[in-house]
Amino acid sequence: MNLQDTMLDILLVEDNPNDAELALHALRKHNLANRVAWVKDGEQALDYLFKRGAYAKMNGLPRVVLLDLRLPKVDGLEVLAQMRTRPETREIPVVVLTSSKEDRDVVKAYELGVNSFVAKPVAFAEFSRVVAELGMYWVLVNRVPPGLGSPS
Amino acid sequence: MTERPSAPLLPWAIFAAFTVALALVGLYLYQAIRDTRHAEVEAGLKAIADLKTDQLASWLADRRDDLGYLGKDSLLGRDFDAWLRHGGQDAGRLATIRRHMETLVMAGIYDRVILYDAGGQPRLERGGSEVMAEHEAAVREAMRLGQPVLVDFHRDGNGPIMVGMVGPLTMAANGGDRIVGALYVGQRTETRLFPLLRKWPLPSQSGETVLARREGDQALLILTRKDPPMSRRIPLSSQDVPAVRALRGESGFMENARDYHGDPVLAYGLKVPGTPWVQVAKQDQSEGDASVHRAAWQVAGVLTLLLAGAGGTLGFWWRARESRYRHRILKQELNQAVAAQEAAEALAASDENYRILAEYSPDWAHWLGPDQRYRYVSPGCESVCGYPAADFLADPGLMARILHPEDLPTWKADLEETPDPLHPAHAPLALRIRTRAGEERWIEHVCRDVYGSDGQYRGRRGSYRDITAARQLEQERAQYRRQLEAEVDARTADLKASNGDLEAFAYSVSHDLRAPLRAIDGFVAILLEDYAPSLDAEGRRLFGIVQENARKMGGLIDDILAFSRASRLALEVATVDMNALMDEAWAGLAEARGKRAIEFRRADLPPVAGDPRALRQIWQNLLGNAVKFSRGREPAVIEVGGEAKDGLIWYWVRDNGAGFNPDYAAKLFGLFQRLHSQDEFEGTGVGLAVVKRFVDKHGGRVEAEGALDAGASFRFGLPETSPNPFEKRSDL
Repeated sequence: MNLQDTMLDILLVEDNPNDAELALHALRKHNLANRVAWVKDGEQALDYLFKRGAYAKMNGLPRVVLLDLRLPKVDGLEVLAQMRTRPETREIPVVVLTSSKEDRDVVKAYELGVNSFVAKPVAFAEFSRVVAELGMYWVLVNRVPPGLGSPS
Repeated sequence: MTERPSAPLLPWAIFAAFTVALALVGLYLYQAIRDTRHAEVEAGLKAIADLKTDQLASWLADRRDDLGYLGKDSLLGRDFDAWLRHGGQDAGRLATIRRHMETLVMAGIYDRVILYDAGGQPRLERGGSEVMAEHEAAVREAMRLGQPVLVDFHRDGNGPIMVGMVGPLTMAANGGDRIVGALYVGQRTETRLFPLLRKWPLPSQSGETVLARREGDQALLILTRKDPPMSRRIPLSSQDVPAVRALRGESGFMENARDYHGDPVLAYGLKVPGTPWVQVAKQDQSEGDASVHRAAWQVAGVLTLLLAGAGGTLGFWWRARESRYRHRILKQELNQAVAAQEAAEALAASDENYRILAEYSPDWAHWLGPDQRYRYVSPGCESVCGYPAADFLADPGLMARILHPEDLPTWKADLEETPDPLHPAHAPLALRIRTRAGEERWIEHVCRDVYGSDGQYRGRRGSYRDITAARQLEQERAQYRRQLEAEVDARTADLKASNGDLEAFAYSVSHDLRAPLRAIDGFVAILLEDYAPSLDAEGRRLFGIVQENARKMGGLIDDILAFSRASRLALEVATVDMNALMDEAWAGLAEARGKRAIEFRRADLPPVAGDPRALRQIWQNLLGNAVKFSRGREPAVIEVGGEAKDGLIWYWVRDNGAGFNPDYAAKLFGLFQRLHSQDEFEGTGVGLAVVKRFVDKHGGRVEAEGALDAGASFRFGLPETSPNPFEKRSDL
């Protein structure tokens, strides 16, 4: 298993299992589900990204993070902020998925260097399409930063 | 003081000169008048004398002519001669003679006629009583000379004074004339000659003609005005009487003459030719002088009047001058007296004013000399500190002792400041003192350096004012203010907390309420997608309803959030190009408009000061409504316009859509208020509420007009100036 194989494409950070299932369903429909890792709160997301705790032995980093903002323990904006402080995670594209249309969240997220911001519509069809498109876009179009492409 | 005017030397000199000049003029006038008068009198006297002389000469000539005519070969002579020859017996002749003689008398010329024979004896006579002896010499003389001889003035016996003439009676004979006799004709002087002489043709009271002749060594005055004729005789030695002087040969105007009564007269005398008479025309000098004197008196009167006038004028002028001077002196003295009185009163009033000012000063006023001793302390001090003014005057250290020890350094520092004429005022000090009663009081001290009118530093003038009450009030106020602020802070905190709760609630709504809806919709979608074959048509319809309601609820939540956001929006005011903003909003509705035919009319919209985000939302909502409610109109007409009116800039959106019942117009802008059913027009009743909330935040107004099926017009007016800045405090 080379580095490329062990590398995840998408990290989904979502505490709501329904939303997560719907998201995974949408990703699955676009053949992206087998490359998705799902964590249920901010703390897990940070452990995963920074190889801590349960994920200490993990290899690889996601090509894109789909991040909900309202998360237990550590909220999405905090996760985003911490990611932007560490060199290995600074360049990873983050797409904020939230049902909130609050302006301050948008502003704050952008301030923290979010790459995209998507409000989760109530209508599932639309949600499915948006999630799939985002996942595809960030996985396929954006290239991984060169530093991450070679083993240390 | 006005200088007393000196005696008016010049005016008096002028007056004296005037007087002298007037006197000279008067003298000259007097002399001139006198001379003129004398000349006039002289001329008059001469003229009269000449006239009388002529008259006498004429009289004499007439008599001579008469006698010449009667004496030579006359009928009288012939008859007398014939009568004489007949020895005086011829009565016929005598009658004729007498008739002749009667004719002479009756003719009114002669009063007496006497016929003499050649021997010189009177034979016949007419008039008179007796034949005068003195006639005889004249008779003989006349017959001897053969011509008439004057018979001078004489009395006819005791009768009247007569004058007459004797002429010879001759008859022509061979070898020359033969003297027959002589004829005497006489006139009574009183009826004939004297009236002629007495007549004085000039207006004079004293004018007279004096006729005189010589008789021995005396002059006989034949005729005068004052004496009976031929009654006065004057010795020829007399020097004064003009008649005498004329008889002595003097003729013409005679000066220094005195008449027969010794009165000074002006006289003109001359000899009457052919007679022994002299004639004098004379007038009393007093009469001539009377007119002169009258003129002199007139002149003197006029001069006196002139002098009196000049003197009066001078005197008047002098008195006026003197009076002005006195008036001025009096006025000056009065003014001085009044000024002195006023000064005294002013001083008294001033003293009184200053005393009242100082003594009744409610403050504790004082004057501290340069030696730090009080010059003055007002009685007001006792009410402030309890010590009488005298205590401070007597004890300069008292002030330092009653001051609060903490305030003493401040007070001393102020006291030790060097006087600076440029900055005489000292900053006010708030000090604490202990009153005589032991009570602590706050006093405010103000003072300034004072300088005398000579510029010398004279210490300080200041006052202490009891500010204890004000100080307490201030402290109470400060405490009250602190309480109030604390209260406000507490309430603000509450409000913030509740706002936070609200935000948290809104946040929660937006996240937590939407998630289940998403799940419902999402899993129904999966069900319909993946398990469609297992469901019949009814099953799919029911799942469809579930999905639709989930979406509706999502829309509702979105709108609630939008309204919440509208309420909490902090306005950021800028000048907004409403044309651009409205166009943008219209373009944003492209999806909603779809392919519908909509006639869109936009007038030019005036710019306005406002928050672009809020204004964009307003346009979106109003235009969205217009698009929505004009659905089904062919064509739908939407009009947009704007105008400034009543201090607001109004914008409106008008459509020809479904309109509304105007009875419910007031409800339109309420939250969740809808006038149409969901079947007709979908919606949540939030759009206009958001519009109203935004317009309210700008300090504007919203209005709606409409009728069922007749379109609707929504207007909103925004202030021309920027909104009240306090409206921005929406973070509370």
